[in-house]
Amino acid sequence: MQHILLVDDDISLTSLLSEYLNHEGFSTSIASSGEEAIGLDLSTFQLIVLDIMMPGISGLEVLKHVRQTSNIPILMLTGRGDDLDRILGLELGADDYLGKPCNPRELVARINAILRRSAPVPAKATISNDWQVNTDLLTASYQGTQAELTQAEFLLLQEFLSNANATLSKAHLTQQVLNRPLEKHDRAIDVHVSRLRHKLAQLNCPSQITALRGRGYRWTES
Amino acid sequence: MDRILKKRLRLSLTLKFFFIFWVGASLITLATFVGTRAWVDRHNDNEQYIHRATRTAERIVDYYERAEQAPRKAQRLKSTRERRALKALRDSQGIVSIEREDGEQLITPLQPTKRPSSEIQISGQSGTTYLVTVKHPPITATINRVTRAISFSQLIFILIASAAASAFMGWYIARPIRNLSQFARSRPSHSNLALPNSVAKRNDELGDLGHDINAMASTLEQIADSQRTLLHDVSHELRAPLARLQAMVGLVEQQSTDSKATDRMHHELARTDQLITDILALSRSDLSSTSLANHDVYELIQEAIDNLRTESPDRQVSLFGNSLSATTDYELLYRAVENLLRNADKYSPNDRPISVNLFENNDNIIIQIDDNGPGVSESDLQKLEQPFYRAGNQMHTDGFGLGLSIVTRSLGQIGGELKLENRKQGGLRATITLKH
Repeated sequence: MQHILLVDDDISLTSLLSEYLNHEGFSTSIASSGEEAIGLDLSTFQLIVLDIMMPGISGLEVLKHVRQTSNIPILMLTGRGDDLDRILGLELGADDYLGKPCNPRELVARINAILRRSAPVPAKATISNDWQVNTDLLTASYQGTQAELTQAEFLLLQEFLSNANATLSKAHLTQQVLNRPLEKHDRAIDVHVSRLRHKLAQLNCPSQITALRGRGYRWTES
Repeated sequence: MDRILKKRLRLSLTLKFFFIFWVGASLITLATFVGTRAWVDRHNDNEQYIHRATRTAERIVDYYERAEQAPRKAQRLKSTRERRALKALRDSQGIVSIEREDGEQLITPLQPTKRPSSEIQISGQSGTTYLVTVKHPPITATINRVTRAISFSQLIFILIASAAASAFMGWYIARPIRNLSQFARSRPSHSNLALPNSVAKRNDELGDLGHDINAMASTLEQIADSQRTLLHDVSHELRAPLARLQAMVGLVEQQSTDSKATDRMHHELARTDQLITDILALSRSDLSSTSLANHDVYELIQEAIDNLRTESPDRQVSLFGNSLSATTDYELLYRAVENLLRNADKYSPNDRPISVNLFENNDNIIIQIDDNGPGVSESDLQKLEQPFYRAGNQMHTDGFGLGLSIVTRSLGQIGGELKLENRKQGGLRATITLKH
């Protein structure tokens, strides 16, 4: 059974959501503040649903703290229209976001999307010129140097490598990488691309990810 | 058109003050100059005139005294000739009459004169005294002489000097007023704007007025601020119970088989959430400070169109124009364009295209968004920009009538304007004008 941690200062909301998730077949734990969440042993959870707007230690700080030690999938709950929070959260390593208030059905769909893509897939070592990709361990190495990628970045890299020199639309990438359809004002994939780009530059990988206005992204093989 | 013409014809305060002071000062200076000169001249004239008249009178008296002693015949011959000469002399010198001390008139006044006159006493060779009446020179002569005395260069000097003084006066009064009105205009969007020095440092009524306007603006700002903050906070707080309600509806949904009711609940909750989002966006478009930078307006519109496509993928939207750079706030302009696009999408049938035109006109950037919907009745056009106002034929579509107020307020922050009009070929045209 998947174990999910709900972090939100609104206790009545978390208990309602927890009940809902239990009915959907998840087991849940609740943390009502950032401080409480940081004190927990995260290895027992498969996913964290993290509210960004919390008094005291904010969701963004919790996110930063968690990412120092763990790669656990994190779904942020942000106020609708808080674009800045979303982008900051994604840049700090959150996997995806959901506007709050949300339909709990949508929450479950989003949780499933993240969990599905982090589920182990048959091991297959792809070798693409300089790249060695292990889909089992979710690791990728460029000329022998291992890239520190989050799960979303890994899936993005994999998508690019298998579609080199082709234009991939934002909608396609969102579906493949985040396992959900593109929404309006959806910048998630752009932030993941920008993070991946940054990490490629650190590896001295000469390959280019080009943004094509209104069409999407293209991986240009060096 | 009428307004532009009026504005062009409008005389600025500086010019008005300048003309009034100039004409006034010139006239006063000129009048003073002429007046003093005339008075001085007249004084001198009279003295000279009387002096000359006295000498003439002496000659006449001398003649009379000699004539009385001379033999009659010779006297008569001579007298005819000399009389004429003396008469001419007398007339020209303005002598009216000469009277001997015993009352005999040597010369009698020819006709009564209204001109002022002086009386002088002289004594002849024989020791007899005579009373001479001399009329003053005519005033026109004095005026002629004075006007001849003011040279052209003096006149120019007076005009230039008074022009300089009036220009300074006009500037001194009108400048702080102009600065003050400029201040009053830009104060609402720049809360920390300081009163211009030309007003603040004045220790007079204009300075007081400036400080009063500033104080009034601050008070208004506080009221508006607290109102917006309240709106913002209330909307924000409403979201928590809304989120709980949604979770509860979810729970009900899990346990019941009647999905119709819960679907409607979800729909209403989503609508309420949208309203809160709109109100927050509205209060944010007032609250947010602008961050100006160079942006490509074409790309901005393209992004808004891309976003609209995720919402309604079947809508045909075309953008005409070229890359145009503008110094503006991306978020605010984007919000305006996005809301107008969404309106065009919402209020026109799905199969009708939307076209967006981007071009430059008189250094302004123009964005035209045309739909092919039913348009808006003329009476509704003006009211559309008010919050929560919705035109009569739109009640069937979702929305709260906040979109256009968000547009106008966002544009207001970046010096843009919105114009709505019905197109001749049908549909509504929304025009954004961005001043360069």
